[in-house]
Amino acid sequence: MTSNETLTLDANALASLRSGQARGLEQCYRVYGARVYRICRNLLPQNTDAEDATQEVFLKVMERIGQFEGRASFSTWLHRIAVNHCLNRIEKERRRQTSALDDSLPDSRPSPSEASALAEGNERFESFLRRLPPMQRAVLVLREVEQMSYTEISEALEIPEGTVMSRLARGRERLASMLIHRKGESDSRCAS
Amino acid sequence: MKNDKTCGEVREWLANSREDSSLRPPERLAEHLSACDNCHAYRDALDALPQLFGALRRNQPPADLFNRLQAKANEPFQEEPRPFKNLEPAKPAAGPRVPLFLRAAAGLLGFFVVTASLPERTGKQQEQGVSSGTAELFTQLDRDLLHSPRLDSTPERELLAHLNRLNEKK
Repeated sequence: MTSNETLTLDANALASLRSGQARGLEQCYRVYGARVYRICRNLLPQNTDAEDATQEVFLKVMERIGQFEGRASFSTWLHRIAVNHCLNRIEKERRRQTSALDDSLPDSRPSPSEASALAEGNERFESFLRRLPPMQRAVLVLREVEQMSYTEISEALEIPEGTVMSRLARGRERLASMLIHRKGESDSRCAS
Repeated sequence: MKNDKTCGEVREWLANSREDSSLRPPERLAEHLSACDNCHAYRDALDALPQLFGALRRNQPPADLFNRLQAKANEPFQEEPRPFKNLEPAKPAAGPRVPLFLRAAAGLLGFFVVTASLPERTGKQQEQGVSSGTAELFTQLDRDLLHSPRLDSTPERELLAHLNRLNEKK
């Protein structure tokens, strides 16, 4: 989220969305498309899933716009849909993998494909981020990438602000540890 | 300098105080931090996080994603109903609008016409209730089935005859 992106959907656009007009969807996507895409990309295990998930989130928004009562802001409501959609996808995938591979334990080490991706700095960090528990990751992404306030995150994820803060701190701790560990590994490789 | 307990405290303090740069660690932790290489590296790693997250902010969706979304929104019903078959505002149904009270009146009139046309039960039948209805059914069955040549010497025929006899005795 760059600071010059407008993050409001005006009343006309909201009305268009409610009445199912193409213009409403277009305006909603123009305002929130990049943000929803980034959330999906940073929460889901595969970058390629983000495109499908982004589309699914907007289709859900269209389906459920009648349920939006305006108690929270539209932005909060949309973020809740986006994060919950990603968490549901992660849970479904986890269940599918558990039933398909009952005998193999989850491995926190990077997979061979992940290891090759680690060559790239950003991708390396993304892979670290993906090793965090989904809810911890969601809090970090909303705060650090989307720069949302504690209150907004708390409303979007429906958790107390105190939980937001503690998850942020634990997430940062784990990421910092991974970065140090990774640096130690690369330093020892350089020395040998 | 390495003291696992103090290292833990320092790391927790560092992670918790990221949001407020004006906070300073307690003296004991600050001393440890200045002397412990591991904690120092940990603080550097925490300091690097905003920049690393900042790089993720540059990720943008593919240019054609909206077109694909629009096509999906216009798709006819597949596995589950799509929100809009066609992204057009809903149109009212053709034909004149009938007020609600007229529709309710028509419904009531229909109800009275149907109930009035039903055959009335005699007082005796009403007293007999369910058993009277059963007798009628057996009489009907007897007429239709008992004399059918296909039912000769079948247990069903014997049963029907027996039930009929019982009914006549009543």
